[in-house]
Amino acid sequence: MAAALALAVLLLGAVARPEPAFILVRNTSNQAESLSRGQLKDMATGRKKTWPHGPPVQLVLTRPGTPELGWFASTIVGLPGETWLARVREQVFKGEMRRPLTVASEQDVLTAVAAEVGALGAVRAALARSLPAGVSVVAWK
Amino acid sequence: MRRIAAFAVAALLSSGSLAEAQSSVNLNVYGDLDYVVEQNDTTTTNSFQSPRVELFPTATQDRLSFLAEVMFEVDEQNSFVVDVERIEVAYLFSDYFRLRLGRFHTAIGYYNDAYHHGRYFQIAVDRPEMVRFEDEGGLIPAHSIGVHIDGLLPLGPIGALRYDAEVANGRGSTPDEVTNAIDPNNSKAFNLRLRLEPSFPEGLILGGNVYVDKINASVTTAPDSPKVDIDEVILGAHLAYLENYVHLIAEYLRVAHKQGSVVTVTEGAFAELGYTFKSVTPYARVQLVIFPSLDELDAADPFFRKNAFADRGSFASGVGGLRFTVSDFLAVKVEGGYTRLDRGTTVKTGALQCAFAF
Repeated sequence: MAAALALAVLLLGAVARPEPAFILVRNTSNQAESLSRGQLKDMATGRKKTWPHGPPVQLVLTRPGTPELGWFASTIVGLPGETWLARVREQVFKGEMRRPLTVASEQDVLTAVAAEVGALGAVRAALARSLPAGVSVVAWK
Repeated sequence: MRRIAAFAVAALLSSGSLAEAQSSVNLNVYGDLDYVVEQNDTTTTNSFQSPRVELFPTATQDRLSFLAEVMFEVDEQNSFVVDVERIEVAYLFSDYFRLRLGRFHTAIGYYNDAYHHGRYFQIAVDRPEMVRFEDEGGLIPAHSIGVHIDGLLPLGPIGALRYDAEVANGRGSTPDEVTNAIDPNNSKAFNLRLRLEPSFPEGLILGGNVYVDKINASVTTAPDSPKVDIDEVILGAHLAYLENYVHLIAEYLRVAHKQGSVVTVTEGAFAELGYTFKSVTPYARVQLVIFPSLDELDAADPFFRKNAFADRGSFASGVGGLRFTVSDFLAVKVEGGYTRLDRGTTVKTGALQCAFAF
């Protein structure tokens, strides 16, 4: 009885767990399927300049104020969007970071990620079901 | 021959190689507009200033990258001159190893290559005096022309070790000369900087430097001045923490010049502290530079004798101010400063700066 109750609680927990609102995407030919949040933060601030399997990091961002950019800044980097973007500009000026590619829409993020082997972008999780060829999800924890 | 060339061009076009070889160049513009008041024991001056504007082109092609800083700045004759401050071509092999060639900011201490010429990014109106540029009286060779390598080596749970190593032309014959194309003594300067970036607290940087050079220094300011050989050793230590809205940078520098058997030592240090509340950052900086006595400079260190600051001698100073980040494109700074010269005089300064970044 206790085991059944525990199983039920686990199942309920799994069902109740909210779907992530956003996902990270990479170029499929990039072998890095899973990264830690620390690795992603370092990549987003210029501390790490390459992916674990080699290609140079190229951030692909939508415009300031968009939900996916805000999610990336707060959840991955741990800073408000404006503060993070200011830091990125500073790192670009130092020569420590590639200039992020800024695109108009999430669809453009996917297009850019499909074209650039080292690209890293964030889009709504709803798009995960219809990713174009050449784009895969980055698992992270 | 012409036919072969035409065929080659057609082949390139048809294969798309030309299109692939194209690389777009991004361009930013940085600069500042200032109002400065300076009062010493006898006189007070005040001026509006448009001291500099710069173009910052960057480009990236896979692992290859390029950047430059082309500065239009006002010289001592009140006229704009063009100065190319940085030209860097870099190849990123991995996080462990990056190669850079060109004219770059020497990896000495923290401030010199963390802050370049665009004033928007630095917290205060001016750079700390010991790390000012060559033509402004700084103690260091702020720019180097040569080869730079750097990388980040993980140390497991301890954190990471960042290294920078440089081989460069080194100093010119006078403190304000940057050896862009000619190394007067053919002797190269060597620089090594090591930094520990511990896992905790995240963002802390602890570093040290050794810079070694041989200087063929002019004894006078005349173009045909006789020269003397000086061995230079610069040792430095620094600490920086720029996380959680805290801005903390502290550096120490020891510049030793050996001419014959006589060694003269110049020391400098500064600490800069700020904290950001939304768009406002109050900040303060204290700094100290100790030159050898003027007698020693005359006798043993003709190089620093021609340093713009050496003339006024050792000093201690403090500045305090507020930086308002108006937008991603504009920062306004209000600052006051007080300098006490060892000669007994004092200098008070006030400045308002609008630094822009587009």
